[in-house]
This record gives sequence, structure tokens and C-alpha cells, in this order.
Amino acid sequence: MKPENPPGTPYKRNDLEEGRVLYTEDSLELWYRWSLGKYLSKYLEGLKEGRILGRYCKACGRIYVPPREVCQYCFRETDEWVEVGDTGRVNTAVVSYIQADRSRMDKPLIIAVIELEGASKGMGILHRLGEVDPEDVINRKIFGKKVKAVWKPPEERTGSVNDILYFKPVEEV
Amino acid sequence: MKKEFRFKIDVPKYIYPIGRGGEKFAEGLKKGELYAAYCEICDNYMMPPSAYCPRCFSEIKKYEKVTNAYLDLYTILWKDFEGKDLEEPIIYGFIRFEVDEEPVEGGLIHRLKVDDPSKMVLGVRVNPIFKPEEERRGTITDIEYFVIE
Amino acid sequence: MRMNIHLKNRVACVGAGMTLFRRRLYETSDELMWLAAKQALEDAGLTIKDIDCVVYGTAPDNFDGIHMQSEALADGGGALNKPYTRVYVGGGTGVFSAIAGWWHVASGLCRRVLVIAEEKMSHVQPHPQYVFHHIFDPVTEKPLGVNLIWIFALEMHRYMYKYNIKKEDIALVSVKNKRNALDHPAAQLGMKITVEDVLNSEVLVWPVQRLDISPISDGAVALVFTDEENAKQLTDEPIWIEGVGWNLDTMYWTNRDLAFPTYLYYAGKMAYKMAGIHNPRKEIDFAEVYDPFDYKELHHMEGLQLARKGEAPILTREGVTERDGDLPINPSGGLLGVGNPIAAAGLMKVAEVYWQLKGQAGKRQVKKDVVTGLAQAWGDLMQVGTVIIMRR
Repeated sequence: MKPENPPGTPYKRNDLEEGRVLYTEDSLELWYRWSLGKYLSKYLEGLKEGRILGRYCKACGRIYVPPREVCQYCFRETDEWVEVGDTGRVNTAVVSYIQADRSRMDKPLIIAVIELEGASKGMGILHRLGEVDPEDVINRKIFGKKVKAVWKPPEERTGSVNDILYFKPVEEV
Repeated sequence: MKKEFRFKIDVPKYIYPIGRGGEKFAEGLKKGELYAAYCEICDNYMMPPSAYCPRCFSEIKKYEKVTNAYLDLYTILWKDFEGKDLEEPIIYGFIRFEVDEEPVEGGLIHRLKVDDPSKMVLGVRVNPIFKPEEERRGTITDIEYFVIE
Repeated sequence: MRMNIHLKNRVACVGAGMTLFRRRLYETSDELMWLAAKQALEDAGLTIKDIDCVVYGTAPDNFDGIHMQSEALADGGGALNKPYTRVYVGGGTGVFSAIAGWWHVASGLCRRVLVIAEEKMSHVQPHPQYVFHHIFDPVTEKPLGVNLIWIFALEMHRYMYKYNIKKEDIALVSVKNKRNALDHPAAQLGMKITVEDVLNSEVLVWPVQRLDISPISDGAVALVFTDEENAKQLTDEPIWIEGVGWNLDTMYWTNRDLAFPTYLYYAGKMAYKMAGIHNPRKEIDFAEVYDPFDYKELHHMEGLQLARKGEAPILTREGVTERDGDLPINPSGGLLGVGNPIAAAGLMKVAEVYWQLKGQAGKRQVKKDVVTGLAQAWGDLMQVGTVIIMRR
């Protein structure tokens, strides 16, 4: 039977701690300063003002959120700025119990893809849902429901996707 | 208008087990000795030692203690990573080795401590200065620096 | 879709080798490559001196923390003073490195190619999962604290919603693959579990639970490809590479259809066309589809037209995808059972197709007589499909 005698020497975490496996350590921290460019910078500026902006492509009629310079389908420059609403419908949603480093969260967080009203069909953004019972996510009742952005107070906004605290349902789930 | 966005890419910690080829080297460091790998098929010594010969792909079965170390190249650092002046320049040498007068392929880059700059000539014999035995962990920093003989 | 491909050489696989897949392996990354490569060369009856060029695949550099990963590990691949290429499409890299190996030979550029895929995820502390935080858009997504499991959970839940699929049916994939892996000598997670075990395992991001996901792994896999003339000198039964395909969807994953893998539909079409396959469900005898999550095996079967949309869970429930079924899927045990050292896991699938077609899979050998097999992987930001079709 192939593979025959696959080589390799497994070890366990405590082999490191108890000195049976010699090792070296390192770490990584790189800081970046990104130039945002015309389109994302205006998007973040819009968020600071409590507005969600998209770009319109005349050739195919798509409205893109987040806005972008090039229509990826027509491979031409998008034409106009459009303000889409801060309401949308839940395309999909999940309940997260873990952080990015896989440690447990103190309390679960609801994450969703929200299709914004005013953008083209299927143009979703990633964000949190609030004021929702996790049970309604687990049984998928929240899918397709209308939600609206809950914004930070204007003075606390910094021009970030986090200027929206979360989206909350505006119709019965 | 917001034009700049700051973020970081970080990994809090990496752990690198020494592996098969590094084992003999690490044990040597702990004892205050340096070992080169020897490929019997290619008749070739290699430093740092690996577990296999990159040319013929055979497994390395012999590790030999080096008998001579000499300075092949050096560079002097006047500034740190951020471009600021160092209080004292740091010298890094490229150290080559021999085993019983046979040349060893490759070598090590390490710090060089020089008391008398006039002795710093290419080809001069150098010796590793190890940390005290109880502080050695089988890593390259078990050698504090090399000195000119 | 139009495609004109003019091949100089027909390409054959003549050897395969792999290391154990484990949560932590002591060998360094280049040592793992060397071990897998040596086994593949022995299998082919060749030495490293017979190899003209080397193709290497690995996923993000950040697992090793060296920002020129392929160069740092070239010695372990036997690439010293040879033309050497690294290819990269995230999780799709394993199969893509085989595709790149194929085009080196098919073009006539090289005669004998060594293809190696390797991954050591265990270096990263406290958990390798964190590296994936850095694949997202730093402006629109990272500030939300995004992790990789979120987006898979979002996709899985959309798929369940659209076709009304039960978690019980998805869990069957994990049960099957982990059981299949019991017969794989390199497997990390071969085990007998039940649907209840999956449903009772730790909830990470609902609907994804611990036993829905493949593990963190270290490991390496290598294959040897050569042209027709040389293959016939080396063996009486070369395994031919008859079709390859790859395709990339948009980086804006929230703009995509999350219930159907469009990227794979196109990648599959490209490979089917090259291999002259008109009805994949009838002409593909078995497949190794990419299964880092259990739902993904189902998703990918549908993308590859091996099942109609929403039909894959039904085929699974009916036992069609078992080793003794009509369309065995992941007889190796897949990523869920054998393990998921990312790029190496994809190439493991190509190796499994090779071993199955050679009739060398032993206890894993599928019951029916097989002539045509397919391996597939998926990667980047859920957006790339890579497909390879082999025949004996």
C-alpha cells in the first residue's frame, strides 16, 4: 500500500517545554502605511459623515460597494459616485464564538453579509448584526430580513468601517 | 480627506525546532564545539550542517568537528536598523572553516570582537567565544562573538 | 468557453512520495521536502541528477516567517543549480503546483520535473489560525476582527439556507473522510466518529463546529512528471495527466454567489474540455475534491458538475460517495482525515489519484475499476479553483 512508511518525527508541545526538542524563537511585527487612493479614501470619508458610498458603471449598470476604480466585469473605469442607503437585507449570517487567534470570545458576536439597498443585487458587505437573538441566526430566520446601520455618534467617528457599530433588524424576524 | 491607513502584520511568536540537520550542530554548541556535515558520496564538508546533501540528496551520516576557523570577509556597521548612529560600530565577519586542513563549503556570519584593528586582515585565524555553559541553549547565539587569534 | 491548447508533450506522472501529516513535525521545512522528494524519486526509479527542473508550492510565507520561502528551502527540493519556480494561489497551491509541473513538461521546456508542496504550520504561536487574519483587506475587513472561519461559516450557512440542507447531512462528509483516513498510512486524524460526535463538538462559528474542520498540520508531498517517451522507458503503466484547469473569482468575496463555487465551475470546464469529458458525472470514476470543511466537499462536487446544485448532500446520504459507491469522493480521507498542511494537502490529493489509478492504494483502493480520476483544490480568498484530471 502506498504511501509506504511515510517519514517524519512527530513531537508534542510539552517536548518543547520540557527540553526534549531544541528550538529557536522569533516574532514578526511589520507596520504599514497604506495610501488609500481616491476611492477608498472617499468611502471612509463618507462613513465618517454617516453615508455609504458606491460607484456606478454605466456600461453594465452595476453599483459597487465598497467603491472601486475599475469595473471588474467591463474592465473600464467606473463612472459616478452613488450614495446607497444604510439599509439592506441579510444574505447570510453566523454566530462567532472565537477571535482571530482562535481564543474564545467573552460573548458571541453575530457576523453577516448584508446586501445594501441601492447597490446592485449581490453586492454585499461584511459587518456585525446587533439586537438580534443568536437563535434567530441559528434557525436562519434572520436571512432575507431588512436591517439598518446603527452609527457611532458623529464626534466618535474616525473614517472607518467601525463607524457603523452594527446593523439591526427593522422588520420582525 | 483621509488618505492614509495604518495597520500591522504581526505574528506574536514563532517556534523553530532545530530539526535533524541542526541537532548535531546544536549539541556541539552546547559543548562549545562547532560541527560541519560531511557527505561521503560527494566528499564534501558543509557549514551550517544539514541533514542531507543538496547535490546528491543522500542522508548525511557524519558530522565532523571543525579544526580551524578563519576570517574570509567582514563589514562594519555604523548605524542601527532605523538608520541611527550606533554608540560603537559593530563588526560582522564571514567565518569559514576547515576540517583537518580540508575546506568546508559555506560558513557562518557572526559578530567579531576586535581589540587591535591592524590584526583584522582577511584570512586571519579566529576563535569562537562561547557563553558560559549553563546559559547555552543550542542556538547560534550560544557563541557571543569570534576573536582574532 | 474557447480554448486552444497546443501541447508539445503528453505528460505522465511516474512517482509519488509523502511524509507523515501531523500537528507538529520535528523536521525543518526543507528536511520535510527532502524526505518527500527522496521517496517520490525512489518510486520513479530516478535520482535527483535526473531531474531537469523543480516546481515548489507553499501557502502564506507567514507560517515559516521567512519572506522568500521558496529560495530558503530550495536545497531541500533538490533545486540547486536548476530552474526552480514557486507557484502560489493560497489553498489552491497544491494542485496548482502540479499544474505548473505539467506545463513545464507539456511545453517541451523540461523533460523530468519534480513537483513538491510543503507546509509547516506548527511554527506559529499561539495558534496558526491567526496568520489568516492577514489575508483580508486591511481597510474594509481587518478592522472588524475578521477570521477565516467566519467566511467559511457564512458560505456554509448560505449554502444550507439556499438548498435547505441539514447539518446532519453535512456532518456525514466528516464521518466518511475521517473513517477513510483510518486506512491511510500518513493520516493525522483517521478515526471512527458519528454524526452526533460532529454535532456535539465545540461550536467555533455557528454553523461550523470543531469536527467540521480539517486540522492544523505539518507535511510535504512530492511527485515526478515526465514526457511520454521517457515515461514509457520508466514504467509499463504511466498515469497520464489529461486535463488541467484553473480559474479565479473576484477578491470582493462578499459580492459573490456564496451558495455556488463559480470559480470551480469554470476551472472544471477548462479541464473537462482538455480531457474530452462531456458528462463529468458519468466519465469521472472518482474524485479527490478539496474538503478543508465538510460542507466544502459538497459545494465542490456541485461546482465540478459531479452533482446537481443542492444534490451533493443527497448523494452522500445515499452512500454514492463512499469507497464502494458509484462515485467515490475522497477515498484518501481528504483534508478532514489525512490532514491539512495546506499546499501539501492539495498535492496529496493528486498523489492519491495517482495511487488509485495505479491500483496501489491497498486498503484504500476504491471498489470499482477506475480509469479516470480528478483532484481539485481551492484557495486564495475563497476565490480560486484548481483542477487536474488523470487517466491510466
